[in-house]
Amino acid sequence: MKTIQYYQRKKRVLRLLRGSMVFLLCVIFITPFIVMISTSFRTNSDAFTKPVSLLPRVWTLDNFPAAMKVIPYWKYMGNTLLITALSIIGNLLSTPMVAYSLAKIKWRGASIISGLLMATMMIPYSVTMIPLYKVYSALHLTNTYVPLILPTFFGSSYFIIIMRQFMTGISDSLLDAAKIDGANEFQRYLRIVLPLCKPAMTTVAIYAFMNAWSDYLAPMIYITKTEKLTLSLGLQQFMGEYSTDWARLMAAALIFVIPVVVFYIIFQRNFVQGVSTSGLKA
Amino acid sequence: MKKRVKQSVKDKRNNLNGFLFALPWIIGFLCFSIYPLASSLYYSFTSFSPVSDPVWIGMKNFQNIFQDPLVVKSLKNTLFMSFISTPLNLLCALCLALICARQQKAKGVVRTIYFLPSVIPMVAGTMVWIWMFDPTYGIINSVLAKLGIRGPAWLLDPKTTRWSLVMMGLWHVGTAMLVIMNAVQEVSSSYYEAAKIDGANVFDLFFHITIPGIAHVIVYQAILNLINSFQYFQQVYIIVRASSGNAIGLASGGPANSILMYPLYIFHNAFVYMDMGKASAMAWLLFLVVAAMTVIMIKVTKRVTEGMGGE
Amino acid sequence: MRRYVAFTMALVVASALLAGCSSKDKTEDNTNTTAVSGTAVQESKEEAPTESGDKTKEIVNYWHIHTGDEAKVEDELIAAYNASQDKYEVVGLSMNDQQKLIVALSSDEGPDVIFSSNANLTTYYFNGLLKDLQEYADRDQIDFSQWTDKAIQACTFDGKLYAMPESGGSAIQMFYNKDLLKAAGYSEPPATMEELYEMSEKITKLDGNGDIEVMGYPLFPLASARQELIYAFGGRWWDEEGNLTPESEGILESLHMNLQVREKYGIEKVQAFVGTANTNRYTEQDMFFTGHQAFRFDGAWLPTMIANNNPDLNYGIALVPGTKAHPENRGASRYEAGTVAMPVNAKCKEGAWDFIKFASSHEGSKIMDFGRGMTPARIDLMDDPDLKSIPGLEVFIEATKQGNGINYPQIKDYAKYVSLIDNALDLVYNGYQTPEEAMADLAEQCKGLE
Repeated sequence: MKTIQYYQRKKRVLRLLRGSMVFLLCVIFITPFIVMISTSFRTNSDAFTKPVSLLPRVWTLDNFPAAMKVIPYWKYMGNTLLITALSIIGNLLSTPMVAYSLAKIKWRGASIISGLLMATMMIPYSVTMIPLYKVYSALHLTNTYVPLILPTFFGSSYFIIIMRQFMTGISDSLLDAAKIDGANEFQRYLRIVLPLCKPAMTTVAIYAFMNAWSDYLAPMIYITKTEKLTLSLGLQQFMGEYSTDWARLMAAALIFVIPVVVFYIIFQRNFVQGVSTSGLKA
Repeated sequence: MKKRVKQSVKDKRNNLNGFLFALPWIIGFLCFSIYPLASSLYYSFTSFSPVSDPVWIGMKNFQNIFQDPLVVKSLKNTLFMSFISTPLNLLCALCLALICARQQKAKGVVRTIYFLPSVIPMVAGTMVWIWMFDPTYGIINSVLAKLGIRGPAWLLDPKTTRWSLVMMGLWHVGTAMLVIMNAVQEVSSSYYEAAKIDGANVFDLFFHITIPGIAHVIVYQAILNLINSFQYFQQVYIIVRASSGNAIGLASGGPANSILMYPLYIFHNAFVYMDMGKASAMAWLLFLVVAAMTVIMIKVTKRVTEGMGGE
Repeated sequence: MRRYVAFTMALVVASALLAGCSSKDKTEDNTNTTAVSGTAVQESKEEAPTESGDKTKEIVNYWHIHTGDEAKVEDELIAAYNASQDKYEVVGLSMNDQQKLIVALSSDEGPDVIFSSNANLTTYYFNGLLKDLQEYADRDQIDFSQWTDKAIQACTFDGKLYAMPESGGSAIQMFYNKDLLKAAGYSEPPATMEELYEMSEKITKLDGNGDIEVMGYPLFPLASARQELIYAFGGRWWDEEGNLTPESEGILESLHMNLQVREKYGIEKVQAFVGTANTNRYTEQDMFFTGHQAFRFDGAWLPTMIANNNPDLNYGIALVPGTKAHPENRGASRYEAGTVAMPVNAKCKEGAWDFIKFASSHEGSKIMDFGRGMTPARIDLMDDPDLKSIPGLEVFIEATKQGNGINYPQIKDYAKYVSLIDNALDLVYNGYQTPEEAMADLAEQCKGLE
């Protein structure tokens, strides 16, 4: 005869098991961060001394000024911020408009475009890379931020899908009421739908930030002038020149990552929301 | 009669408005998708370097591609990522999601930690992994050594390089996990209660309630990850660059080209061998494959969700 | 189902649009060209102030690949040139990323002069990136006997000159750790590979786990293992006519000895050692600098690095060994040249040529060769006392004089060939294929190369 106590004990054991597993996984997931941080506070010779130790044997702060000297950190940070800000603006202007057209206007194109949204997501970057590169270089736009920013003003499929999903959830009754009051389509969009979309807009803005911040391939192709590089490229450049000085490399990586982590922790709720509603990765 | 006229006027106005609102995307679609696709198709029948104009050479690029042993190799490597790494990733995401869905204590912290790797810029994340994979001074092998296991040379041995990539990929499992977890939590608990009363065991619950309830999400994730796996580029590019410094003129694909992914090989062809025609042809083939895959996956999704009877 | 149909429809529409658009884009391209000239005008306006500021001086953009101390040498060269005349002003930029260079070359923000190794020169030439310099050389009646034949050969493609040499020589020779040799009972460096193998066996040390602590046989650097370690056996990846010869006997012989070492200490252990060595190369922890490597086939830049990282290291430099059967292979090495060339779309061509002439002149070359510690391409610098005073350089000059440097083949797919070779070697090194199998596969694979 199994008693209530038996079940309770079984439940407790299960919970403990699950708890410890979750904890173990947390440790594994966080290890790379610890490695990054601890390596950036040690000397390179310490990093290459056996036996391997997780924590520095000798703590040093020298790696950070050294890394910041090689990568003009604030300059690249400024460049990165500029690109990031402009692409957030671009996305916030274009995404809700297109999404509105798909979610709230009954017209023939809506279903076609919805299908094409998925289709454009499958186009590999390598296909568009060469022709676009040719166009931009013919237009003398290499070494400017135009190739990095311009596309955001025309809406990205990922974001439009997120936004459309959100807008579909907005009740039509509000719009109908506004229509009766004589508001035209654009007024309805601007005054009713847009304010209601704030959460989705935040999500889009966050993702736009993440994309622009870590974008790597496009700047690599289009930006060659040292003074115009972005942080992610600067980091890669650094890696090329100091491919062996892991202490400094990790210091450089750390100062690159910190803004993102701070940003993530502040806007965590929106991140999670964005991911779970869209199922899309940044 | 009047009504119908009114209706069609309304339709027209809607069509116009819809079109105007969607205009930015339509322009973007033409400029950033259709134009490059079309010209890329044209380029794939030509030969040109970054400084020369395209010259029509017919099918030569495609013949060249099918004879190139590295194309085959890079395709194999990419397929490895698609059909081994992607499913493994999903499986892990599913397991993690199931474990964490019921986790009560420190729920927020746990979620933050699992998801954090996914927000880290790829360059930085990959660099840490390269360092951790160091056979002698890396943390992974030193932990393994403590457990009495002799770790492999990871990114240096052609047999383990791709598995190293799989491990790196698992670190980014957070996104998929979150999505699945959300879906799991949305499966109404009343179903479980009802089933329990009917005497269903844990396995019944899992296979008859949880899985059908989240099938659509999993399949959607599978499609997305599959598409992404065909574009797997950044990580290998960074690894290859790190191991060769910025060595000029070197188009490496890792040890024995074991991590030469198809997009990386396209990149090498375009920017190292400067054979942009061939690179365009390769890119178009990639596009066709991805398109076909997506269509198949969508078809399968339909069947799965319908077959499960879930809505 | 309906959505699926819509989806396929969308694809069809898309492909229909493809056909329609390509013709439209043509016209768009035309408008682009007008835009191009428009911006070009603007740009020249932007440049105007610098020109008026310096009145007559035209700007010549020079991109090199050097960083750190070597970049300072480039600055010295530029300063010397700018002081030597008042017509042009050279502006230098360090750009050690080939992919970026290529991108820049295809836009019009590229350089007027580039520094290039002879290996890259081949790739640039075959892709039409280089301006033919023959007309300039003919006009100025350049006397090519001032440079070694091999150096000029490296700059000449299809009978035409495409670059001028600053340096050039048998780039890789043998560094050895005297203390390690002494401890094993040797006072002289090996002259043949057989001797080297024997010494290596005695020198190699393992720790308690069987991990390699001191490595004798020079399996690292991998680039030297691919080249000099094979040239020593008389193996060649290509012949004089540029035919690819991956199944050459010397290659197989070298690989067998290489594999013998690997199997003796365990392939995994060797790979781990080589991997770490690769990570640490040229740093404080470099295996050779720290006394963990007895023999190292490396370049003339190594003594400077040793002086910077571990000045106490007791090392010597000798020619790369030959074999018992072929002692004449001693000193055989890749022939590496530092050259200056002009991209096809250089804007200031006359200025570029003028700077190229200076960089390959006695004065210019000496700055570069002395600063970087490189073997000169100019015959009149071969016995220059300043150059000879650079630690170790004499051995390299000696090797170069012997004349068994091996030039890179002038074939279009050279870079691809190297990548295929590396692929095959990785399979051999990891014990997945025998040298014979790997080389037979390689021969098969490179049939399609041009």
